[in-house]
Amino acid sequence: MRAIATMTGEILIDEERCAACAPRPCADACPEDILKIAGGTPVLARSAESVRRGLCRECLACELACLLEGAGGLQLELPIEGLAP
Amino acid sequence: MARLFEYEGKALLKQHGIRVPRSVLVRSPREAAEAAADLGTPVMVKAQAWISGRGKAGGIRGADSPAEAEKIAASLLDAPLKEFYVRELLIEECLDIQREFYVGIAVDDSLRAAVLIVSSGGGMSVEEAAHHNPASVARVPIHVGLGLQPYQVRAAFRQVGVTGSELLAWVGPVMALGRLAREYECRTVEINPWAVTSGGDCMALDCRISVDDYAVYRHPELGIEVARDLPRPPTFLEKVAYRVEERDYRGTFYFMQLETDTRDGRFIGFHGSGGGGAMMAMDALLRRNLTVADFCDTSGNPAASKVYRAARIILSQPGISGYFYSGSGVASQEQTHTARGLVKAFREVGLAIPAVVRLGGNMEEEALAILRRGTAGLPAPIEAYGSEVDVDFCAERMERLIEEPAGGSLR
Repeated sequence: MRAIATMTGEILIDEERCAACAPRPCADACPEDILKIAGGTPVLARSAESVRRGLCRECLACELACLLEGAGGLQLELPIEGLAP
Repeated sequence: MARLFEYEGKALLKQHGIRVPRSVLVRSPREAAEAAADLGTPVMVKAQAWISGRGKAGGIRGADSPAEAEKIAASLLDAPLKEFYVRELLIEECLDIQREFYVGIAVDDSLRAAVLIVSSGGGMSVEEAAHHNPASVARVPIHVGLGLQPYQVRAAFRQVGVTGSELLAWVGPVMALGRLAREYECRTVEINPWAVTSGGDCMALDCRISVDDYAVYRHPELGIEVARDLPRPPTFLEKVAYRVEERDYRGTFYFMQLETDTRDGRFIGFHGSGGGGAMMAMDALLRRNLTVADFCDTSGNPAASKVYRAARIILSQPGISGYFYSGSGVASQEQTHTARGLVKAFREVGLAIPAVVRLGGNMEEEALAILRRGTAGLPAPIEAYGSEVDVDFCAERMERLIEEPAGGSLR
C-alpha cells in the first residue's frame, strides 16, 4: 500500500489491485490532474509538497471513480480525531 | 463567545490584582463540607453554570454549617440548573457588604469599541438597573488604541454618585479589569456584584467572562476546548467536530447537539448547508413532529472531505432514526463535493437508517447522479432530490421512510 499525503488525510493506493484494473479511471477523474498512470498504477503528476499543501482538494472524485468504475484500489483515508474509524 | 466559569474568571481577576473572596472548588458533597469547615461558616455554595439568573434559579445558596453546605451540595451536583448540569461548586466565604456595584467591559459592535459600564445597582442585571433607574448606569466608550484611562473610570463612577476617596479607590481595580479584558481579548467581562466591604475593600463577588471566539487560539492557557457560544460544556461529538473545523479552513463546519437523550421520540440527524435554508429545513421536520438531534451546517464551498467528516459525526449520534440533508436551493458551492462526501460517509457506516438529501444549485444534476449511483446497494433507503422539490415534501418523505418497516435507528 502506497500513501500520498493530502491536506488532511492520505490517498492510499493498493498497487496490486490497481495493476489489475483495466479502465484506471482515477487519473482522468482528478480535476487538478494530480494523478497520472505510470507502470500500471496511479502516481503523482505534481509535486508531493503541492499536493499536501492543498492542490489536492480532497474532492473524492478519484475515490468514487475507482469505486464505481475501477478495481477499488484507491481510497482516501480521512481520519477524524476521537472517532472510531 | 467562549465562556469561562466563575472560578476560572476569578483566578484571572486574582492574577490581575483584583481582590476576590476566599473560595474552594469542589466536586462532591463531602468536599463541600470540608471546604466550608476550612473557610469558616457561614459560606456561599455556588453552582458553576453558564446560565443567567443563577441565584434566582437556586444555584447560589448560603450555608451556616459544613453539614448544611454538604446537604446543599448534594442537591445541586449532577442535577440540572435550568438546562445546565452542574458538575462543580464554588464554596466561598461570606463577607460583610456595605455597597454593591455592577462593573463591566463589553464590546459594543455598533461603536466598534469596548465600553465600560458601571451601575450603582449591583446585584441586579445592568439592563434591569437601567430600566428602573437610568441615572444609575454609566457607559463610557474605550478608545481602541489608547485603552481604558483612569479619568474614564473616575467619570463613570462619578456619574453613578460615587465621590471622594471612594471614587479614587475604584481606579486601580477597574484599570486592572481593563488590562485583563484587553489581554485575553474578551467580548465581555462583568463583575456583578463588585462589593465594598465594611473594611472598605473592593471585592469581586461574582464574575462572567467570555472570550472572542476568534481569539481563543491565542490563549491556550485558558483551556477552552470549543470556541463557541454554547449554553453548556461541549459534548464529546462537539469537541470532535470542532477539531475538524479548527484544522480545515475550506468552507465552514458547525455542529451542535440539540438532544443527547434520544431514548424516546423520532430523532433525525440533521445536516444543513447555509443558515437560512437549514432553518427552513429544520422547521419542515418539526412540522412533522420529528425531533432534530443536532444542528450542523457545512457551507462556504467546503471540501468533500469536510462534508464527509460532518456526516460521519452526525451519524455517530446514538438513537437517530433518519439522516436529513437540506441546503439552499440556489447554492453556488459545488454540490458534487457534498454528494461525494455523503456517499463516502454513507458507504463507510453501511447506512442502515433512511436518508433524504436535498441538494440545489451549482452542479445539481451531477451531484444527484453521484448520490444515486454511489449509494446503490446500501441497506437503507436513500432518496435524493434537487431544488425543484420543496423541503416540506422532503420532510414528509423522511417521516414516511422512518415509519416504514425497513426504517431503523442507529444504536
